[in-house]
Amino acid sequence: MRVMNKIELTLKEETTIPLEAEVISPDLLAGLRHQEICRLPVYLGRHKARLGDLFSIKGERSSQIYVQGNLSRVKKMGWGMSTGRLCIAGNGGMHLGAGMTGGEIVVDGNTGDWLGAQMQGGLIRIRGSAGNLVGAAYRGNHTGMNRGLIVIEGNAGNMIGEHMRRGVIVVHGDVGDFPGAMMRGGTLVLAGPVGEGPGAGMHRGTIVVLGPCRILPSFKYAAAYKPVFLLLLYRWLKGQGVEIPGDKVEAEYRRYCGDLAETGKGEILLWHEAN
Amino acid sequence: MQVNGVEIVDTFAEAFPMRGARVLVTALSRKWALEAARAATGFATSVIACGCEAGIEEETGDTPDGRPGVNMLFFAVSREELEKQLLQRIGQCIMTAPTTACFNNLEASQHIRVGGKLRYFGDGYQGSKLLGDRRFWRIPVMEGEFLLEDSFGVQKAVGGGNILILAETLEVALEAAEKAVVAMKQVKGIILPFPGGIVRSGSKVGSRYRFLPASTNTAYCPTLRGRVESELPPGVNAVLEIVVDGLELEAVKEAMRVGLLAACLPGVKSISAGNYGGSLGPYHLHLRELLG
Repeated sequence: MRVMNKIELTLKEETTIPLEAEVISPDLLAGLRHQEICRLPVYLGRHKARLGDLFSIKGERSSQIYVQGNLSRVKKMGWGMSTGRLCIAGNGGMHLGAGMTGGEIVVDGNTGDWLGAQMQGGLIRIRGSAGNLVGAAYRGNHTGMNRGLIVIEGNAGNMIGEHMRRGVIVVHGDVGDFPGAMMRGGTLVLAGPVGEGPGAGMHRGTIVVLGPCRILPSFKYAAAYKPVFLLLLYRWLKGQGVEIPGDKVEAEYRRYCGDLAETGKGEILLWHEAN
Repeated sequence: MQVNGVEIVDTFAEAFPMRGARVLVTALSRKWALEAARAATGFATSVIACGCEAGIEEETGDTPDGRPGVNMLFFAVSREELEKQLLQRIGQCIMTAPTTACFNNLEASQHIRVGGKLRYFGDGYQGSKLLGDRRFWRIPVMEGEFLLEDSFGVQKAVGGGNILILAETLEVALEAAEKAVVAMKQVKGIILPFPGGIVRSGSKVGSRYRFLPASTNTAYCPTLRGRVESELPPGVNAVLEIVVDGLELEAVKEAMRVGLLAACLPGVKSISAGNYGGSLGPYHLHLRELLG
């Protein structure tokens, strides 16, 4: 039997000081030996440290990375990763998977803000909840998430998908205020209750709302229909391991066009029985 | 060589390279998927005058949107012509049919843009969606939206596989041809582009008229026996042809093989094939070799 090679990192001691660890990425670790991995630089607050000082490390030369511990203060894991798999048994910190172009991140717990910010490809799956600005654009940029898939099985914070351009974000639980704000494209699927102002300032893109939601007055009702595109989307999501309840698949949706304060080319598809 | 007392002529079908695409149409019901597919593959019997050869490959439930679907195959002499034909046929026959959606169903290294051009029908209100590596267009129409894939795969294909059924009577020829069609349609990756899969007006290259590039296959017309150099043995009074196009040469061969076997009924004198002396197409499908 072939034993799969992997790298295991276990946080030695929980920290209250933010730890910047963009080196925890399959792209980088896949080509390194154990000693080289231990010597990789990280920043604990403003102090430079070695990865081996803070994590006990097993394995080498693998694109399968397993990280354990309460990592809610560990930022930038999987930053810009393009391949491999990063599994986090516990909570993840801010900027997890930001700018990633490929590969897969799976988190058993919760994550902080800026999850998958400016992501360009790959898959992020969060078993718990996520913070604010999931898939958003960093300040000064006009393009947030631009391909890829983010699945959050719990709740999400405010302004998820802000400035999103392409890709799909699915949130099974509640979401905060202004999801899809300033969206340029892509698709948000919000299965739970939605906060204030969905799609505020959106130019293009689709927000699918399956739970209770208050539509902004700058969105205008268009029609009630069964979008074939949603059949396609839901089947595609099923192929990615994301199940949408059957009563919402072949269902009628109310289409609202907006934000008419902007170009009005965006849409909110509201499940007919949600409100 | 004989099969069930039917002579298998020592000759070959001369097939030639084409470009092929597989297009999947789905709809709210099987009925409307078939309606759209029949319309899109209509008037597509021969590249001589139709621009492309097309047909329904199979009905399927394995579709991207989970609705009933029909796979169609389209063949043309070039990628450019195939793109032109798909634009016209999807635009006029599938987009116009109620509840339909249209998808690429061929993985290939080359692609032609169909949805990417038909999208302009949306007059600026069309929207695109990217799922994985596949782009789709949502074009607003009067009953909702027409969903169409941006690009369609194109691959090298084979056209012009054929068998000729030479029988004592028209009734026998038709029965044998119908049985052959049933058998050949079980092969995946091929179509029989003529009506019901059968053609009675086989053609030869050229004619006595300058403006006509193809004309009736005089050597196989029973009524011209005595006036022309006939290929028909004594006792043959009717000939029907089955033409087969496929995405792969092996599929064309297999379709010809099973069709040939199915057509060997009492009253069929011989099975032959159409060729142009080997000068037109690079694929020479020898009937006796097909039977091993």
